[in-house]
Amino acid sequence: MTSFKNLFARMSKAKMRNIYLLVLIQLVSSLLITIWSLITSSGFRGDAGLLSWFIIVMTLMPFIDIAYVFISTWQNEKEFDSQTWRLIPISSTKFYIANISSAIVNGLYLVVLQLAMGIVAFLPAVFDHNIRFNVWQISNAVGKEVSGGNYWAKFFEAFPIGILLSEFIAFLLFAFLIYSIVATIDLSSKTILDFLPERHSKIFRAIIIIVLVFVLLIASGNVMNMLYQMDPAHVMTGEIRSYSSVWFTNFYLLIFSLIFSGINIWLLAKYHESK
Amino acid sequence: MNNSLLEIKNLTYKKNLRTILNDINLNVGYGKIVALLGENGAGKTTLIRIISGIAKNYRGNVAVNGQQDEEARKSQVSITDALKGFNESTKIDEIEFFYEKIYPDFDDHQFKELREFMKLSGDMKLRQLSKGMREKLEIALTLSRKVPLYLLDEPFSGIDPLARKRIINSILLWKDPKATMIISDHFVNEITTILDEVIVVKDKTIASHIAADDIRANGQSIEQYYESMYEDGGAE
Repeated sequence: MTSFKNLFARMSKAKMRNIYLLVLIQLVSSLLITIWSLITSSGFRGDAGLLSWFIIVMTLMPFIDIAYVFISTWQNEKEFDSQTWRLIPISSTKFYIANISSAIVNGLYLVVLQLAMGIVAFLPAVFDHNIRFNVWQISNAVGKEVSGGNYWAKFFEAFPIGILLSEFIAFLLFAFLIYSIVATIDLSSKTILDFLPERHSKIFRAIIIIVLVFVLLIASGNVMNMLYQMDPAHVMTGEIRSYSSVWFTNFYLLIFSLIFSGINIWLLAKYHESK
Repeated sequence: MNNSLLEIKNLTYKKNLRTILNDINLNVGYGKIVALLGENGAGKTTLIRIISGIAKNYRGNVAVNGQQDEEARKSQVSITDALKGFNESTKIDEIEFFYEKIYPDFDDHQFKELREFMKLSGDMKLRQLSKGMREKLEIALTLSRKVPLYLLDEPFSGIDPLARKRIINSILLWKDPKATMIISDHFVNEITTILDEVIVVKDKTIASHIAADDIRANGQSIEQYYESMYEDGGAE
């Protein structure tokens, strides 16, 4: 039997190619836009010119991340469909978790690379005296607080570690839920298609996907209404921002992710055939 | 221990409202080389996909080396894969590394020997390979796993006749004597010399499962025997 660790490593590597491609696109496009904006003097003037590359890198970041979500979703489905991957002797549960989690871990790696690119893009700003002075002032203030012994207390007061951790987990669970919903629509539409005549399969598939999306939208609307009714104080739904509201959100994200994942694993084990 | 490596009982498979295989019963022993013959669309590939755990939602029982569970069955079977899961810019060395990490039964030393025999270089990319070279790679990867059952689905169709003969003649050297190999192919003539058994799929079921020696003892060649199964003009 293949170990989960080995499968996860191979799936991550297969997805890594796209990560480097996206980082390269962000790097090249940010450089081109920066050069163009400096040459044409559009937008950035004076000291801001030294920060222009950093600003453009950060502006492009969400677009590249959204592109990654689309590409990784497509790649996940490709691996579910691929005979090369599905021949691997491992349970459907482990196969599913390895596929989805490798996409999430690679997404985190992309963010780390983007932040590193941000740091590099910030370096030209160090040449500016005012920016250097501001950075020195901030580090000086932080240094005083640290030596005073109350830096971390103030830091955790401003950024409670529990909230930070729970919001990070919320982000991971949200990604897990998105990948799971897309997989449910993809796998179930292909499975339904296997029970229909072969003719006009593309039209049938499009209709099935539209119906499934429609059903999911109505179901999610009903579930949200139900949650609001169960929670008159709006603690769970996050209108009152608190420690518990984030964990309630996480709890619901987890429950829905598990429901969709359960459906997907069942489809992979019993019905869905690779090509 | 059961004498059958592959046991199929009352297997029926339907897809897109069509019956592809109907009430298949089959037992294949250890250490055999078996030809799986039949017209295009007879269901040979589907049968191979079911045995290897790729095709689902069938009725009946399939067991390989006593293992019915799909996950366990996959570890007992090595099947020729079209390698579509790899990017076209993937090098043969990278595919070898993938197999080494993914399949604990992969014999790296044997793969290197087979790769050299097939005249393939490790730094060649998938997109550089012709259809025949790609099939050679698929055969090399399939035979480099140490499993009881090998399934070769039309493995020689793109390989030139000279190389085909060379590969077929050396298959016995690469196969563990206890392992069984099922070859689905149209080139009946070229594989007859190595065959122990013949299975003919016709009319969605197993029309015949016979020892190659029994065919020869009746004074027929395997090709003649296969053609005689279709004297009525075939299934469809």
